[in-house]
Amino acid sequence: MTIALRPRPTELSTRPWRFPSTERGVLANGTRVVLCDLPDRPVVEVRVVWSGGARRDPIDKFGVGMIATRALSEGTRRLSNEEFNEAVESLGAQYGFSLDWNSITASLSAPKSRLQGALALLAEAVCDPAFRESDIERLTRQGIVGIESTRMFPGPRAQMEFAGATFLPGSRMAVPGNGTPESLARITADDIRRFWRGTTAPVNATIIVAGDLRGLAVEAMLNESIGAVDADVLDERRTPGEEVPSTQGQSLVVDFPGAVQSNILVGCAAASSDVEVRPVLGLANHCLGGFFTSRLNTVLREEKSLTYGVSSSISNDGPVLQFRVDTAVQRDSTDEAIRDIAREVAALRNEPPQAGLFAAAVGNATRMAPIGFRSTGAVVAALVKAEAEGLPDGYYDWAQERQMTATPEEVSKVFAQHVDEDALSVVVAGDAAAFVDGLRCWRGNVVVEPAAEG
Amino acid sequence: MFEGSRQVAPGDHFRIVVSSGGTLNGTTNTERTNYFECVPAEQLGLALWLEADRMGGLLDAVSQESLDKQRDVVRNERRQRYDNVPYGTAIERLCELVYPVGHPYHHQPIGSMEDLEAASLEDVHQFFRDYYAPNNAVLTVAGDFEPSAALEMIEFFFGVIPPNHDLARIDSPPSLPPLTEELRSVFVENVPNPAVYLGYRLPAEGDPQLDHLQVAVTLLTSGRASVLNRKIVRNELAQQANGFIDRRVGGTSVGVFSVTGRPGVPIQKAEQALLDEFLRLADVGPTDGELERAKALIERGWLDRLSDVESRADDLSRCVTLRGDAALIDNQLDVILATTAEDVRAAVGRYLSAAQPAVVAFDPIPTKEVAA
Repeated sequence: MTIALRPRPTELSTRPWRFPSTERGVLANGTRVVLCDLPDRPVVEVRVVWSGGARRDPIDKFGVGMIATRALSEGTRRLSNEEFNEAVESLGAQYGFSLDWNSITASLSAPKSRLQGALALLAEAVCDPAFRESDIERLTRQGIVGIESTRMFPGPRAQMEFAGATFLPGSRMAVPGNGTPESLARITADDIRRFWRGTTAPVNATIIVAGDLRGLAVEAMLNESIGAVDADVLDERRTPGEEVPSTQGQSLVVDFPGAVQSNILVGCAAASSDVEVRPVLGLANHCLGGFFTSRLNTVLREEKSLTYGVSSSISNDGPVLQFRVDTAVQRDSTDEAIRDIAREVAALRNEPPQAGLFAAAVGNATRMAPIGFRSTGAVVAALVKAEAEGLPDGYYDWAQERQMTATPEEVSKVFAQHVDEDALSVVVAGDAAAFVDGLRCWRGNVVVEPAAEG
Repeated sequence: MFEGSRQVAPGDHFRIVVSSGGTLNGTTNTERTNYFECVPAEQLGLALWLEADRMGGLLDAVSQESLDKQRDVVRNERRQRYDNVPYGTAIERLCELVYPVGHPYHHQPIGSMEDLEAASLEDVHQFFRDYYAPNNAVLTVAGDFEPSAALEMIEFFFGVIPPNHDLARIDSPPSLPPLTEELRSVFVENVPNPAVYLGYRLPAEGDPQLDHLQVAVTLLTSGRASVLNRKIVRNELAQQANGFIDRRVGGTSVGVFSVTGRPGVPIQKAEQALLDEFLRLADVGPTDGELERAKALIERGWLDRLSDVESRADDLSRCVTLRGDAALIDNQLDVILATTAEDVRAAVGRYLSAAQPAVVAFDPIPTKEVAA
């Protein structure tokens, strides 16, 4: 007996949604403040963003920034590692430090009722970190082992090699953010102290606080904590050098004999895009590989079953834009998959996306905000991104409106302006014997290096 | 389940949710299969319609062609998550030791390549008919809606789907006692450093000893102040040390601990250090500080999950699907918070310290052999 299933209901309009409003201020020592009151969110999220990340590592000691962020979790001059971490965790708080190319971020989340104590501990970690010689030496040893171990994982190995393929030698971004075993081995505790002292200059800092701030004397708490950092700290870190994207795409294979899959990265770097085009670039990414029904996933997974999934990303990292397609495919289909990726990138450069695909991309981009920003963490991450990229206030609302008026033709044009086919590099970690001849037929010179050294 | 149904064309299930601004996915473990989406509140009806259409009309769209395609996708998933990554098969191999051959938890839900090859269209159709019935389903909705209006919508969309009157009863397998002899398997593979995974048979969900063990595992492995981070990682006996419990209602849960070595340090030292911590906890129990920190971390994790509509729905669903009681979402935390040092000491003593583990060890291929 056939069940009489109900017909599709009429789709209702989504209620209007606006990004939460923020208030700006400045602490007594010059630190900028962004407050975002989100009523009934009892866990408060705090981010302190300092400008200057891995790109400010000393020239011969790449990885200083990474080691510094790890060392900030090792306690203070007053509290041992154990005492510090127990103190934080006993408040029900969580904290951490992270580094990207252009900034360092301290993250803290704490129940509203414990915020003052948690901020005090964070300030102590920032102002008075232990940076013990023995900890720095251990962290660099662990960092070296970490890099050497990670090189044996095909996916992360491909990511490591991709940096060198998409930037010219001499660019900081041609070397992974964590440095190399050789550069880490040269790092001393003095390097860490010097780097961190420069980082914490209040002129570099923005504090972002989001959550239920009602009844909290937030400004006073911030002035007592991060606001206590010496306003006169000098920033003596290296001025970042120029990042030079490679304009001629390279092909590199890291050989993992016997690997049943190939991890593939295809992409390039370019000068960063103007803020005005970023919403349209976001739509381009949606169409190409930003979600499940994007073009790449439709072809490689749904039509051909070559992969469990494929995705693309377009990001602005300070002065550069990075475009990449990331997937893992069955070994024998490696060359076919790379050709498919190259073809779809070319197609989007040359032709507008198909109407249904474009409509889905716009629908998702302009309606996902209530879900994408439903958590305090997501709101604060968006505020951090805005600070890091210099996005104007009101950017997210403006970006949605801009996307609603974009056309498929614009999407193709803007994508082509920022992604140069000749600059596309291909990096594969997999069983070279299975596909390298096919790759050479159309990519020309393909460099093959073994996964394991020696 | 995502390739369309009677009124949903191939590819449209994803497209409809995504273009409405939503997200979606599905998960399968040994005890529960969960399909979920998060949509703007106004689209609740759309989400319910999609779920009802595939509950009542999926088989209209499952053909040999679509099965073959999805089989290949799952093969790729297996390669990506298990076969093509160092240590990727650790949990699979561990469960083969913890649970005997023939036990429903002996194998992983993803199956082997041979299992995937053997699945026929009729197998898939029959499985759907047997289990994907409304009287075997728990529908959970969390978000901003008016309950009576939502229930009316649910009745409208799902009420037309008949129950399966021959629903097979799924009996829990009997609980397994802790191992009395170590079961160890060693694999020489292309891994960067040695690693050891230990698996212990633990009580099922519903037994408060499992919650006492949850406190023990938390104090051992969670957070920077965790015991294993302090005593194993920071002491450079291993590069990583982790642990978790896979909580199961079906007779026997499994506790997993792992240490990943570093060059020049025998992995046995890290393994022994882990076992020494079990001995310590079994002998004198946790300190007051360890106990309170573990409880604070668990409570904070519970608060985080409840604060998000998607994880709240998932936890509610799990409580009802597996244990028939939505109130457990609150009550379970009470058991954790009431756990005493003696509770932890006794549970560790019985299930970790006095018990024997199943062990899966990985050793790197000797360098000479790699060069050859």
